[in-house]
Amino acid sequence: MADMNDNGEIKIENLEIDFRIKKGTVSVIKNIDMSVKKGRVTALVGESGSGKSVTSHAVMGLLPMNVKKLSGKIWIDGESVESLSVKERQKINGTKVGMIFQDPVDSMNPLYTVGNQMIEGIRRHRKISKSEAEEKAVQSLEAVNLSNARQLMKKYPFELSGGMCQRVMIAMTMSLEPEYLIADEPTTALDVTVQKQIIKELLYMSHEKNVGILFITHDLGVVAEVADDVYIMKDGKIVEQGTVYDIFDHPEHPYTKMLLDAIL
Amino acid sequence: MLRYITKRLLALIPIILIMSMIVFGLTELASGDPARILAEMTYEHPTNEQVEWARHEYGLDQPIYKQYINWAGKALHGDFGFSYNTRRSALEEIGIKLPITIKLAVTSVIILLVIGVPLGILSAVFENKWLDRIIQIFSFFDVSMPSFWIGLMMLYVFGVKLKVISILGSATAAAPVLAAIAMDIGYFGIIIRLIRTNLIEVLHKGYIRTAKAKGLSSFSVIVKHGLKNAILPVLTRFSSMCVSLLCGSAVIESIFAIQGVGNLALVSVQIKDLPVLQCYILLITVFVVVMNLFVDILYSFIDARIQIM
Amino acid sequence: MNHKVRKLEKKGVMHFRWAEYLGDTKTRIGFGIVVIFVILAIFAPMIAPNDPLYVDVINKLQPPSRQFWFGTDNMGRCLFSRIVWGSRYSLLYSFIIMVITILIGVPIGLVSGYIGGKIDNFIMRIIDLFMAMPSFVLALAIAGTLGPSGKNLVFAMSCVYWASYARLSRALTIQVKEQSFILALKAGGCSHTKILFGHILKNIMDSIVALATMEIGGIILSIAGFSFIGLGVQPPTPEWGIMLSDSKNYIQTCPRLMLIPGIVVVIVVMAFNLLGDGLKNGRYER
Repeated sequence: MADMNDNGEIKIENLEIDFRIKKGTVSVIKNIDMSVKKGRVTALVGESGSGKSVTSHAVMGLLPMNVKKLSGKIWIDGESVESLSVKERQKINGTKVGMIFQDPVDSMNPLYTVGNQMIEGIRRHRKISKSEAEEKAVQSLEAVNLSNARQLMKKYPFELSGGMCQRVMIAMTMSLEPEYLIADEPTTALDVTVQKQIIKELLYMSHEKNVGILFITHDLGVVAEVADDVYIMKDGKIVEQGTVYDIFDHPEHPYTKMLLDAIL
Repeated sequence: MLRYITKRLLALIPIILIMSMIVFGLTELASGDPARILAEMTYEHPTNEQVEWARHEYGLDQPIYKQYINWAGKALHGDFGFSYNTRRSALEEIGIKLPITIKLAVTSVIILLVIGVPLGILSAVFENKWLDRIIQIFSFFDVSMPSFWIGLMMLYVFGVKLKVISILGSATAAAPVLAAIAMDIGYFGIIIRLIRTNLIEVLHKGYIRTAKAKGLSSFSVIVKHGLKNAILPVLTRFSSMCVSLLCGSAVIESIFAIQGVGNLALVSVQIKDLPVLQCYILLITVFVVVMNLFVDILYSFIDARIQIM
Repeated sequence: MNHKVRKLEKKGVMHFRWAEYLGDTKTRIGFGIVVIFVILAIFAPMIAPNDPLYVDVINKLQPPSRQFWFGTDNMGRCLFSRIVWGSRYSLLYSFIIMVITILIGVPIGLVSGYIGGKIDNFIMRIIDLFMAMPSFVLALAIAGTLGPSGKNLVFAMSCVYWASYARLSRALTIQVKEQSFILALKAGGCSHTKILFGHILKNIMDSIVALATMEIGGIILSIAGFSFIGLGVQPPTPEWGIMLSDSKNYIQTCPRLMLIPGIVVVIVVMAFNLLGDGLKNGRYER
């Protein structure tokens, strides 16, 4: 029975994840609650190993095979997704919730053109012709301010810079028109000027297209620019949460204060 | 593209040249007097005079480098001399039997890929699960078996026990297929492991994660994105595997009494039929060269990062 | 052959945790079997109950009995004794090939990698040429001209297999020679020979041993294979490949002649492959 939670959010409840390692198990996510609301950018902040990426992978069903225990609930728009079959998962990935990753060049297959990779996703979820899908892809590329979109479609990922690749990735994800977007450290590997562009695109998507964005990062500086809500994560636990103003103006947890000290 | 091919062919000429010199040089080491052998082709029991005549007639009294040039010149026209055994031209001998071996070899490759590639994929996708472990054990056994023994076992099981094929000849349809499978023994394991290792590595890459995040079908993820990348290192190995397979055909042909080119080579060693042997060796060398070139070109079509143009 | 070399090249200089490796069950099984056959090989004259070459056609194709533990072959010779002596030939020849190829290949690779420059380029092309050559062709050529024999087979195979050791040594030498401790030694006035054969060699030794272990199973198979088709050891020498070749005509009447040598070959090769696999998976690298 699917509980009728509030529509318009990704809700994580009592999530616990253990991984199997050589010498036993390790608890990576220790009972967290989170929500990502439509039209708002929610930042998940933590250092490496805090479990932030694992959380996002759990939402997308991208957890590795050595997952030992997964308990708790994950809702997307009221539907529970933590234990979907492979086929069901393939239906919502991309269309309901999309994801972009830290290394944009590595996120694309070097053997296929940009166009090929964009069209395959579009046609996977919709029965349209190749030329229509091509049009949609071009539109998406133009929507993230990439000029010469048609030429771009014929290029291979290794011919593009990191910043361009990340924008292509955003375009690729958005061409599927998801309601939520998870961005796992999307700007960490990019130059500062390019970072600003990417953040601009993401904010546009969130505010104009009402997309709920989960923005994962370790950099509180970026959080200040992009986030509406913030969750601070340490060692698999949420240690503090609130709006971006709450966190920056009156941080409560010592860890949060430590992070803030590091950037101010 | 054309420039690349020409450049590669030019670079490979030294290899053919050196091989031809080795091949030619070996005949100098061959025991027995070639002049006498050639004389015997005309005269049954030649006198010393006739042997010397043959020596002069065939240019065997000239300095070695001249002999080589003569030989090489003729070889380029396909004239390797006449088989000591059947008196037909060496090239013709090989030409008759080549199609049979080619059929066998092609069948082998097809069977190898049809069985090996899917097993490799399954092994990688189900890494460390039951299926993978079983396939890995199979690979291990396969790599430790002598292909000729498996060939004999097949003759035993199918020829003697089941009486499906004749152990004397290859008249029935089943024999070439069994022979092709026997030829593949040892290679199944190699290709399964190659694909498994490379596919496992590829499946951890970022673009696989993206593909899954886009909700692509499993087939798309594993084959379109995964396999195509994994196949690149396998491809470079593929040409040397094909060469080995072709060489290995000799053994299987002799077991199953298939009148192919490999069998011919073995026979010509036993009876010291040098012209045929020389022709065969150069044939293999040319095949190695062509195969390498073919794989290189294929590579450039798959991987856009390789700039051949 | 080539892919094993490339894999080891990629891994770079390795040092193995030999103790752990030898403690693993699979390795132990392989090692145990290998030891058994080495003992059979060395003490063949004492272990074999009968003379492997003694022909007694009246007694041919006898089933196993107290006198002939595996029975007799088509010439009345004791099958068991021939198998025992066969291990001597297989192991001996493969060992010789290994020693020759290492003694030739490793120094060439070391020197080539160390010197660098045009000489290195030239040597590398030669190495590549030999690596591309199928051993079958060379065995064929040499057997066809010099006549087939065990010695000639060893020669033919050595001509081909030395290249993989040369290539590996060269690649690893290139990696090692840039390391700081080498520069320190040079600065300290250490002679080139000492650096090359003392220090660099010591560092790449583990990888060389790994390659040898991985290859030897294949070499044993090749020797049996070449002898089977008549390009190697000749009858009446009791070599496993020849025994299998002899058994061809008796598959119907006496399959034992084909089954027993075959199974023995498989067991031996599997044992060596077990040893090699343990190293190949790199589970024991430091």
